[in-house]
Amino acid sequence: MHLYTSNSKYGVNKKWFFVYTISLIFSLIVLSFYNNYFRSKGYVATVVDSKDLWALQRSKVYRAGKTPLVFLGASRTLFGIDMKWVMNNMQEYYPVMLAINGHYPLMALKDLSEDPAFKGVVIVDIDSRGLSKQNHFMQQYYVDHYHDLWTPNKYIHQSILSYLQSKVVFTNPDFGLLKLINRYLSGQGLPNKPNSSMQPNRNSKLDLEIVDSAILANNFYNILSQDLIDNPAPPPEQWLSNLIQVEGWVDSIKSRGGDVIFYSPPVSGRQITLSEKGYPRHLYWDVFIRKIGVKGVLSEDIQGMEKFILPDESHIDYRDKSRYTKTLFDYLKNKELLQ
Amino acid sequence: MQFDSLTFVVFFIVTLLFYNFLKSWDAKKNILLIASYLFYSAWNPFFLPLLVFSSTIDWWLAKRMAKSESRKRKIYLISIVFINLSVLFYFKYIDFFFDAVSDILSELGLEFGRYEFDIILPLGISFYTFHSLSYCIDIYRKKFEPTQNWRDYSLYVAFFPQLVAGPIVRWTQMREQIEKPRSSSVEGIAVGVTLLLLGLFEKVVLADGVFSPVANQVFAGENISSAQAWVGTIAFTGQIFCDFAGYSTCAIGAALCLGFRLPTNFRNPYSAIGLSDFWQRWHISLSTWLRDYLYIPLGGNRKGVLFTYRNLFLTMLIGGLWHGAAWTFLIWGGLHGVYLIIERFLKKANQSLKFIPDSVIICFSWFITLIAVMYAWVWFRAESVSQAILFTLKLVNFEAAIASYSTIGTQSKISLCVFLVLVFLHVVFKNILFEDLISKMKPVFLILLITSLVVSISLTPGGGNAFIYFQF
Repeated sequence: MHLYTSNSKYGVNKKWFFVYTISLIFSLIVLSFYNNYFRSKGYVATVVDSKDLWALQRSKVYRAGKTPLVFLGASRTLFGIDMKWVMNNMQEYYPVMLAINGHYPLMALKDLSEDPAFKGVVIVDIDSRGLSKQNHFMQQYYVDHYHDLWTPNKYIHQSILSYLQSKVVFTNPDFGLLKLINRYLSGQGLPNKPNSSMQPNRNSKLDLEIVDSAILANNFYNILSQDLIDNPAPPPEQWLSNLIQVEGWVDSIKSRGGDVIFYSPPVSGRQITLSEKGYPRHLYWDVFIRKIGVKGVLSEDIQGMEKFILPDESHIDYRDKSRYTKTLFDYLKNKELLQ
Repeated sequence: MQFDSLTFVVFFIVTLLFYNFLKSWDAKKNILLIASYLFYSAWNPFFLPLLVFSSTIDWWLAKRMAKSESRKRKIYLISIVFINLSVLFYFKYIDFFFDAVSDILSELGLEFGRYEFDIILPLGISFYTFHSLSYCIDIYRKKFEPTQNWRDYSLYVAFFPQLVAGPIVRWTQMREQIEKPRSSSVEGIAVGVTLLLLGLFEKVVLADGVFSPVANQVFAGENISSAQAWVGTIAFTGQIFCDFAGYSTCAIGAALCLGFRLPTNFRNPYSAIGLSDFWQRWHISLSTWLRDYLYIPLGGNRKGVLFTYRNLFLTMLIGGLWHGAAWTFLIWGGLHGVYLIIERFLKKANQSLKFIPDSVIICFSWFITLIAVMYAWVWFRAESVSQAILFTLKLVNFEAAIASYSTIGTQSKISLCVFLVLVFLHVVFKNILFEDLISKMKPVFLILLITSLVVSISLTPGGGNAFIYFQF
């Protein structure tokens, strides 16, 4: 039998206390230096968005005591809604951010409607293009990940990981030692400073002052123009017929005491022109709200929304987040769309 | 649950605290069994009943077998082997079997159709099946009496450090440890945690950080150059060792913290001189299992040269199939069988090479062994037989490999350097175990070592890739 199993006659070896204490102190010193070096260069700790992080939030839509308020959508909600403001000012609600950058959200809405335990309110950020059939399934693989692969084991792991990532710069894979060595040897230098960051509850912010917003605006314009050429809007009747099932999803959630509000967030400049050209409001959005019989809000109908400047013609800068969120919620309350 | 997950850190600390808080040995063992089942369920709780059922039926049948004599005893053994292998066959090989039958019939002009069973492989089934089989076969051979305690047997099969990816432990190695009270000792925890750190370093930093991105990129590529084929082969040779040895090191470390000792599973295998030496250093618990329960029952080397070759080949072929249900694994096993046969043959011819200095023969043998092992890993890693053949053609084109070396990227060059260091360490520490090394180390070197391990693991945040051997 080996000397360090319990059959050992050896007593407590004080050497190990000394070795581990000093090793841990040294490790902390080295790691602190590493972390502080990047902080001094202007990098911040941020949670890395992932399917597991989304699934962690998805698992939190059942909170008792408060009404879950779930945000579905894409980047405009992910970076536009101020979760902190919602938590502080809408205290009867428990906000959950399930918007996914670059993904329209209908499958997540379907998933919530089919979940008998979900009894909350859903705000669905979507526009007429997002309601087109070719964009229905974008979030399906996140939903599948949650149902097929999410376990209590991952819940604990992701909860701790998110916390660490929100506090320590080097827990982000971009700042891993091997990655930095690889970048250095390839002559790439340090990583670019990201213009977005995220907290464990997926409350995110987008800094549009440290990037060239004109380039971003052009990029979004080109993507949208190309998509409207590749996937032109179907005739309104056909478009609407593909949305009949949405009514059932909304009814399901309502029958459990919840609610669903469709909301199309603001865009500006060429984005407005293109959107209106591709999916004229009176032929698509208004018909959808009227015929399907759901609650719907277009940001252009909200007084005060026009004051917000969207540097990239598509997103709210984080400095405007709180005011934007307040403007939206004031409207929803005034119109009694939200209690 | 993976050793490199943050959940494991919480789980292990809580288990360790409960385990040492309790006084009674029975209570400690109950905690260990519950913890082991929790550890297993963390991956997929639906397969826990299979594990419990499998160990319970084996324990019960083994008891009945021990009380029986001659023919009845044999029937019990056949039943145990049949039940265990049937379950393993169903979960692991049924798709492969039907595909193979379909392929053969279609070659003969008969249409059989394709059946997709879409079965999820229960984690660690190959490992715990081999645990159970060794126990039952040894009882059949009257090597020991069966345990009357279901909990003790279940703990032997399910003991969480070794449950999902070994080492494959024998009852003779665990019986005393399970039956005789023990608890954690300071030195056990210290050495155990150091081994856990080393295992995590191998897995997180080397396997996932250094080797895996390179190997994955090359093996996913379509038009790879000869240089890339070599880089991919070398990177996977590093990855498979660091991944699997990393798991075994973590397992041994975790067990030590609890006062248990698991057998060594790797002894610097890339220092091996000859393939039989390699198999005494690589996945030792599997190779000894195959030797004791397959090679020797087949006749071993007792029935002449040809039978010995046949037995070697069959044993390695089945060893290959144990790893996975694919032709590539079968060929990997067969390749090792052929290597062992050639080695035996060459050893006999060795007499005529007396004029060459021993040191030259040793160096040459070591190099050839490493190359042979590396080449076999190509089959192990390849997605298909055709990909492995393509790699083979690329690998033998040395001129093209040298000419296209300049096209490989920085990350690949880093992995080559790390691989060289790894092989160098294997050669230098050929017969020295890491745990023996740290037991003799001066505190200042231990501090340097532990600090380096903690810092490098912390600074390698990754994607939490599953251990390769989890799929077996």
